[in-house]
Amino acid sequence: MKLGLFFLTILFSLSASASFLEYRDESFRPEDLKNKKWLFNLGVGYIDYPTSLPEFKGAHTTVPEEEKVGVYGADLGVGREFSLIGALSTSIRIGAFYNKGNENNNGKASEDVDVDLANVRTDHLIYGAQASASLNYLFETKYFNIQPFLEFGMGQGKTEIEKEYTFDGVQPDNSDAESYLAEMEEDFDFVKTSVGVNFISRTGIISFIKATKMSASYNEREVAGEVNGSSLDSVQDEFDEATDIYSGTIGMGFFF
Amino acid sequence: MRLFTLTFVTVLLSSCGKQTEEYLYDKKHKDYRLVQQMGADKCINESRIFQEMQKQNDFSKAFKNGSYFQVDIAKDNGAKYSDFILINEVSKDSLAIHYYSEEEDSRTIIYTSQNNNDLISAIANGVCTPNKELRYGHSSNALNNKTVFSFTDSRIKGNQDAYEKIVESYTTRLSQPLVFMEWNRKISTQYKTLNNAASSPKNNTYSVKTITKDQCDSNVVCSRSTWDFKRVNVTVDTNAFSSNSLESRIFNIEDFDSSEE
Repeated sequence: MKLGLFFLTILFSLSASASFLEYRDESFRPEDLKNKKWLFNLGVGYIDYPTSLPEFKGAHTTVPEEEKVGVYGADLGVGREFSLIGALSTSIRIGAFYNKGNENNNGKASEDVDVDLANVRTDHLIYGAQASASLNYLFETKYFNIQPFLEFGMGQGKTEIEKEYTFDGVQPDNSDAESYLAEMEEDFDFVKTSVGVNFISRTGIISFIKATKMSASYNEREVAGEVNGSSLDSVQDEFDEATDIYSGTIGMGFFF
Repeated sequence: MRLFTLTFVTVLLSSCGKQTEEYLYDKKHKDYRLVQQMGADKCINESRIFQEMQKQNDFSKAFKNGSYFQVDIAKDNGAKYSDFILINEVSKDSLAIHYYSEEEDSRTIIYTSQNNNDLISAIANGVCTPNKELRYGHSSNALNNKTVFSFTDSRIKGNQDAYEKIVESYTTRLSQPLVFMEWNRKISTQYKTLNNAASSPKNNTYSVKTITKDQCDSNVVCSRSTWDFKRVNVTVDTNAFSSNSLESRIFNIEDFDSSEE
């Protein structure tokens, strides 16, 4: 499903010059674009986020001390472009990102015993706000313009992750039953570097693709929960921990 | 196009869930037998139809004295006739059921709540047994039904070259005493001997429907007042499912030839 949607997005991104024309009014004149410097963009992102939940090893699931999860979401930005010299320009932008994911694994007893015995549910929510500046260079072609860019940004983010595992057990006295619940919240600051390319139609419609490396430093991590009846509650507010987070975004935007 | 884009983003954001499923135990696992037993227990204890059957155990709440039923019988030899049933006495834990028949001995069947409990257990044990070879056949969602449950008990003697096979398909209706499954039934018998093809199945079919007293009174068999009823009891084999013997039946009504070829 997600791959299909990504494929669709790429397809539409690459077809920017033609099919996106319909976004503009029929009376739109390409020369007007030179006066349009404000820009808006909306992207679909995939973030490979490292999590640090309390470690757990159960009969039917394992929670490692560190684990990376892939979460999809949206990336929104508004900014303005300033011309520098010739084809060189810079863009300043503010924006926000919101990534949300849910995984649910249902453990059935066996092929011939249709009983739900275990369940692992993981919810991820990663969101934040950022300010960024980019250096762009415009290559003009007959059909559309190509604008590679290098972007630097900084911002703050928050993560909410919840993982719940239950196993009902198969022993008659349920002595092998297990449970694990961890709800973690993290606050982090980050600086990021992105490289990408804008494909800009003659009407100013942008399709873009970019890869980002985000260096996050955590301010606070709070965990609440329990494992087999024992508390997992903890608060950690002094960190000497920086983590690199990688993400990819594709999307579209326009000048106005 | 704008509409498409908005729809696309909405769909994308709502598609961020991932559902997976896995089996936790296979036949080699040391706890596999426990898993099977647990599955059987859960099937017995949580299937809605068995819970509904249990509610019928208080006969005085579930059934009315003076209720009439007609049993339509179609035999493999072409004979078709009707017998009649009257629930003649109802107490909390016992039913006296008159069975009127010109073809067989007329009887008063004494059916107790203990019989009823055993019959529920017999069906549940057979339907929920982990052993696929012995399990009573039923449709996948039948156990969640509240009013009707159909199942099949197959028994075979011999091997694939020469055998005798009996297939009994029962339908239990919760509007009727459970013992009425005796007359909501299709029994099919099939033979195969060495070097011969299997015979065509011989089918005897029974079905029960509710009738009014007026309908009974207008029937010469049902309204006859000179019946000589013999009191008979019901015996239930709660482990009948575990036997493949042709003679093994879930329950028997005393002095009643249930095979009735």
